[in-house]
Amino acid sequence: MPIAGIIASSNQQARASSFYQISQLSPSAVSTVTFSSIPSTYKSLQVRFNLVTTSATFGELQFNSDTSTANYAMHYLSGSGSATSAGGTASGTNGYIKMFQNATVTTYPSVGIIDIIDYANASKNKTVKTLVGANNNTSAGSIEIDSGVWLSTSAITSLTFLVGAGTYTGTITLYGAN
Amino acid sequence: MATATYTPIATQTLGSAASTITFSSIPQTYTDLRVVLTNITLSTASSLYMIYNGLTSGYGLINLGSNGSTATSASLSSTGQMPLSYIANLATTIPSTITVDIFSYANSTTFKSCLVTNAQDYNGSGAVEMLSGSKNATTAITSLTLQAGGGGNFNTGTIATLFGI
Repeated sequence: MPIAGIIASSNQQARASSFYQISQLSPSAVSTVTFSSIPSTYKSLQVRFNLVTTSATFGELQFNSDTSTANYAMHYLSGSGSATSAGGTASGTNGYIKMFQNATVTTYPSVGIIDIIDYANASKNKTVKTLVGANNNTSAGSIEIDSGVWLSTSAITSLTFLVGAGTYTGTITLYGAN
Repeated sequence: MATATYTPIATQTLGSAASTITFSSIPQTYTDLRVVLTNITLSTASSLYMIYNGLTSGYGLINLGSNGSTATSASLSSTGQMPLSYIANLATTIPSTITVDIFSYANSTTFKSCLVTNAQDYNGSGAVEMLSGSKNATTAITSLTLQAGGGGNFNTGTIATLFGI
């Protein structure tokens, strides 16, 4: 029922989308999940997650099972609810792209959107942008934007999502965009 | 086989001023929801609020943003509605854009979390901001209400679109 004063176009027919769900996982009390055999037919990938963690910890993102610290670097801008922080790590520090500098929360889901641009290109390094948030309805938690790079020209065919401690449960979904 | 998604569920374009915009009977068939608010102006400079299922308690947020000179972060807990802008009021003439992502909205076993980004540039004032929001209810979200603050209205021309992802 249209609301008075509103030109409503609810129940509109779905328009053609160029955003596709490739795979969805429902991890339960695990510390790692992997999307493998990712098709190379999209321009970019997006991962969206809603995960309850057992520990206040950080998240890790790896490509093609590469754990070499020489191949990952990142920058972050984060808010903790009372202070802001910014920083980064050059290659040689972490064998992953780190998310949640101020830690996830427990009880409430930590959520995020990870965009991986030009992932199937085999001639350049790969750039990642993440927006992640954790908020347990108190002053604890964080909101953060990250920029990461994987210093490899290999096409990305698998993505692994880990946490620094404990396990997580929830939903993590991989999308492809054209 | 990959499934096409990011589907527009409903769009509301205000033909006259209204204090609230509501999406009801939200289908439970998507993983996440995205609300995109564009061309937003308010009759009274104020924040803008979001309410799930008509529930008026138990919302929390942490923000990170800048008013153009200083970056700040703050938190709210157990509020009656979730602010979608915290640093600066929405303007009455220059439009703002806000995007809200609500995760696992149809889940009936976990609390609800969302991410918000907003763009409010008012030529010398305003803000850019991100927010992480929470609601202490495990109930599936079937309706969303957007409410203009300060007892005012959304002005004519405000557009709200609900997508399913």
